[in-house]
Amino acid sequence: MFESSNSKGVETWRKKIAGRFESKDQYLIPALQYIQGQEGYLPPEAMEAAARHLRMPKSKVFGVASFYAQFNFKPQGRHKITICRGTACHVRGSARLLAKVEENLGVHAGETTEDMSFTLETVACFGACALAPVAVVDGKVSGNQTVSKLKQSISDARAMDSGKPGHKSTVRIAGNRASKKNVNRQTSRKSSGRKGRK
Amino acid sequence: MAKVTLTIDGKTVQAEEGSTVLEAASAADIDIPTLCYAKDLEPYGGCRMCIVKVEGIRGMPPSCTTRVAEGMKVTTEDDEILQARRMVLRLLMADHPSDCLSCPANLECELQALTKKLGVREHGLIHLDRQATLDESHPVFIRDMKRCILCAKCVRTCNEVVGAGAIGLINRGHRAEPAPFLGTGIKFSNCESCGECVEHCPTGALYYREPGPEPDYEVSTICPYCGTGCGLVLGVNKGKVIRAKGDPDNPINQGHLCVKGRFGSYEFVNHPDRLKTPLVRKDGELVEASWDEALDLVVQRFKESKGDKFAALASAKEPNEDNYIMQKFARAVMKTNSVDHCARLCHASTVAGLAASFGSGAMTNSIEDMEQAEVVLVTGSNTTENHPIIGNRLRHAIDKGTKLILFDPRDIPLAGKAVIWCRQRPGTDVAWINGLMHVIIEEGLADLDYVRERCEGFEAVEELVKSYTPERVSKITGVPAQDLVEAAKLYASGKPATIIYSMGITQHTTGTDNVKSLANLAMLCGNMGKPGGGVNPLRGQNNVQGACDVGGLPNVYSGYQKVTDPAARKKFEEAWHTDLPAEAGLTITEILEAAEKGEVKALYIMGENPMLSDPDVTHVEKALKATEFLVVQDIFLTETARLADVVLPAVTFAERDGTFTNTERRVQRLHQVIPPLSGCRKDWEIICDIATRMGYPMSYESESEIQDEIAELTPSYGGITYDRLDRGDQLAWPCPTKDHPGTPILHTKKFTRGKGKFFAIEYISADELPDKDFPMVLTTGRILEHFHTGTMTRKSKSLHALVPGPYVEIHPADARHYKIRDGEKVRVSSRRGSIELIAKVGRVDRGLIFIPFHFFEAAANVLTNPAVDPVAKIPEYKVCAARLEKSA
Ligand code: SF4
Ligand code: SF4
Ligand code: SF4
Ligand code: FES
Ligand code: FES
Repeated sequence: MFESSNSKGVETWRKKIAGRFESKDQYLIPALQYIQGQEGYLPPEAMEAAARHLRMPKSKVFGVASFYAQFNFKPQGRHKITICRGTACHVRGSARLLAKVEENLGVHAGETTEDMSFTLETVACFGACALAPVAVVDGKVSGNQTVSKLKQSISDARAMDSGKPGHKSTVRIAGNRASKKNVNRQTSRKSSGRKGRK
Repeated sequence: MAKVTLTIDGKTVQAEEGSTVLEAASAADIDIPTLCYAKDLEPYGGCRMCIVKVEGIRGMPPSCTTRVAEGMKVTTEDDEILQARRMVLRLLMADHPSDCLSCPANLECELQALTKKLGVREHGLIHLDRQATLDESHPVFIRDMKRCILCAKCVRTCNEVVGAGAIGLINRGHRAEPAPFLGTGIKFSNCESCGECVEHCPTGALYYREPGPEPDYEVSTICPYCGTGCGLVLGVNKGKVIRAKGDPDNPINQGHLCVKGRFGSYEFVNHPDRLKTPLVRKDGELVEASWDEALDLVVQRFKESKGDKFAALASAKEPNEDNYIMQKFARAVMKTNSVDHCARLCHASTVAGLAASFGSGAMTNSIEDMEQAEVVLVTGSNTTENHPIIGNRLRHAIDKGTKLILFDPRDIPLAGKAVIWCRQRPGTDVAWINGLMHVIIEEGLADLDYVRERCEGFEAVEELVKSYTPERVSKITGVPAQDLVEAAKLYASGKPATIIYSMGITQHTTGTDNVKSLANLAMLCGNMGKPGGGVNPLRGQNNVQGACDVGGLPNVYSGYQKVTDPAARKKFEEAWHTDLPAEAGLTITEILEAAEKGEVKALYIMGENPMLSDPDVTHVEKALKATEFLVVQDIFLTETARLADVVLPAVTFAERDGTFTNTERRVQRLHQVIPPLSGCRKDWEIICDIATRMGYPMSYESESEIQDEIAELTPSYGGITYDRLDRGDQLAWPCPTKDHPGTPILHTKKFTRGKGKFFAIEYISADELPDKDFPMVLTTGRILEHFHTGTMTRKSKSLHALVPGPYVEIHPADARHYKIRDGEKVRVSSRRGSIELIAKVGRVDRGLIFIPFHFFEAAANVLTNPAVDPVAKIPEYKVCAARLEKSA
């Protein structure tokens, strides 16, 4: 069975990648980093294009990409909030912190708000346990977090955006459409852990 | 290879240098447990079950990745090793479900067997059930990843053996599992459904939906589908064929199979729709009749239609013996040379073209030999779908460093492996081949010594291709000039380079020209008669090579001895004790025309289905209906059989002995797996019965005796006997004598015709080009999951579930233009007719549409153009003008 692919998207990406990297296995990770740098995540057609250019199976490209936590498979929000769920942070109330932020943004950890403004994530330990609980907003690590401090960061970010919606967000929304299919596909898999064998 | 001596458990063992400790131990009958090792895969060292101790090496290295060395001292088992192995098992069990009794692999699972063997009852660790995928998307097998032990055998099989690369290991740690791209269901991936991963999985993580009972016995025979000729081992339970496995002793497939071989090869054999009694038309209806009644009628009508009033179709699906008997019947009993078969429709241009260039119209090198090529040029062959096991071996060769140049307008699976992929406009092959020769000559890359010494006619070609500059060729073919130049240089750089082609080259009105052009290119670079070189037409059907070899053609007896040659005729007249007609007979397309005009009154069709396979089938139907007396001999009531006056039930390949000659000219032996179903008879027996009743006694003890007669009369088959084949001799013709080893590579010292002949050939366009009313180019072909007219594959449950019906491939941009969405119903029309089918967006080039021809409910050949190649009379299946619209 062959699958139909968006050959136009693949071809555009293939040209971009071919312009930057030789067709050698060792350029897989740099190519993936390049794609993520452009797009904030790895769109399926871009991974397919990388596979084409490097002449390797796309399942391998996905396998390698999924091995590393640094790669995203869904479009990311303009702002990224990461809350630590390590032991030290847990002891100092990171669960409540996370719950409140989830409530505030209306998304669960690992998800992105519908307007593409925030992606909420968790991490196992930042290695800054002395400052627990720790959160990172747009790359800035700050310790001794409280719910109100985080809410402040969120509204600061919103205020920053409201001045200039423009170009960047349209790009992201276009990307979002493509990824929704992908999300659906992934959630349509069944987890054997829950459903058991038939 | 050099041998090294080592000691394993105190035993002195000799092993080949470069082999592993595990291999050395198993050769010495010392058993080391494994989980991730497989004979046909590269060593992996992932499971650590096979650990051993080696004196002087710290720790316990895995024996499957440790190479033997002179004087090495190995211990394969002691308490410490056993403890470590038990720990491996306990860790695996800790996140493995503990419900063996309800597992589909119960009693066949390697993990289970090892826990028992090493006495591990409880893992004694904290149990953690894996949150893993249960993928039930595939109609044939299930992937239950919570039973996966991450041995990666499936992933490695799919990459190393199959070459599809449909699955990889994704995620890491506790969430790791083998999965397709994006983690989708396997059905939506590029999985080729071959089942090799299921065969390799040591646990119940991969299993067939319907595993079937254990066989009572197994018999090895040959796959009835494509020209690759893979060996099968068929399992029989209670008299029914219930499973197929790859034959590890067959040199072609080495135990592996494609989806058709694995599921399609037996599922039709015991199908309830099999014909079991003769049918005779009475008052317009086909009604059951006895063999005597049916044969008496046939004999009476055949007696009235001797000579030019009779024609027969032999069959590329049937063994050599039956084809030989059929042509003998037509010639000796019916006194006509009008016997042909569907080879006319696939490779007649190959036979004509290569015979003119080299003197022999077949694949010049062997399949195995292909792996020695530095560069492979593939054109007009969707190898991984139509000759899957050859495709797999090609992908394997590419992974080992062979470079692929692909000329194909469609985005076929091989495109992802090609160094250069050119999408030529259909019907422009002569132009790009001339273009490559232009560049090779300009750049001084031609092997002129070889050309001077071994070939003739080069000057005219040299002159002709001067005008085929990359720029001009680019305009004709649509391939960028730069790509043409690079392709030419790459092909010329291959020492040696081989050419593989198939119907994309032959099925054109310029088919013979295309073939001769490829022959020119190969000779220009001195690639003929060498290992890893050659011009290799992949023949479509299991026995299309054999059916031609034994004389199923209107102009030649067996071994291509011309009917018009008085000496040859005399030889056959003497052998057959009768006089034979002196003029060549009609080709398949001419037979149908003559039938329509009422000139051919009786037509005898064995195992062919022209109602789907021939171009412009509306016309074919008219011709068959106009035929006064039509006899069809087949295993199912095919579309053609429905029109017959008498239908005779034949046996399948599984119910008989015989020989098939595969695409590389190698003769292989079929073995009877089950007795003929009651009511069915072997084709050659039926024909002999008719001949005898007509007063020309024909009788043979067995297929072996027929083969002996073929050998006697056919120089190239002279040394081929059942005894030799049963002994395991691999015999590719020419094999003139009983002690001849066969000829895997042709034209080594000189060409069969003496000198290789260059032909200067100008490009001419296809017969029917797109215009205002029919703006698209339609091309047709086969797909992985089905075969030919679907008579067998569509009766296979698994193959049917995989691809249940007809579709047309459309480029995304064209789809947008016609506002057609994937999965929507569309109408495709040509000057000859119109059909309705589902749209699949992707894969073809812009302006092109592709329709597989397997499906009677939307027969692609309603649309195709019956215009033929003037020399070979092969119709132009690959190009016609068509119109696409949304269904109302
Ligand atoms: S699915 Fe089977 S073959 Fe594949 S990694 Fe898991 S256990 Fe091994
Ligand atoms: S069935 Fe064949 S192609 Fe599909 S995943 Fe398994 S090995 Fe790969
Ligand atoms: S490659 Fe051809 S011969 Fe081999 S199993 Fe598949 S269909 Fe049969
Ligand atoms: S647990 Fe949060 S930083 Fe270590
Ligand atoms: S068999 Fe050797 S490590 Fe798995």
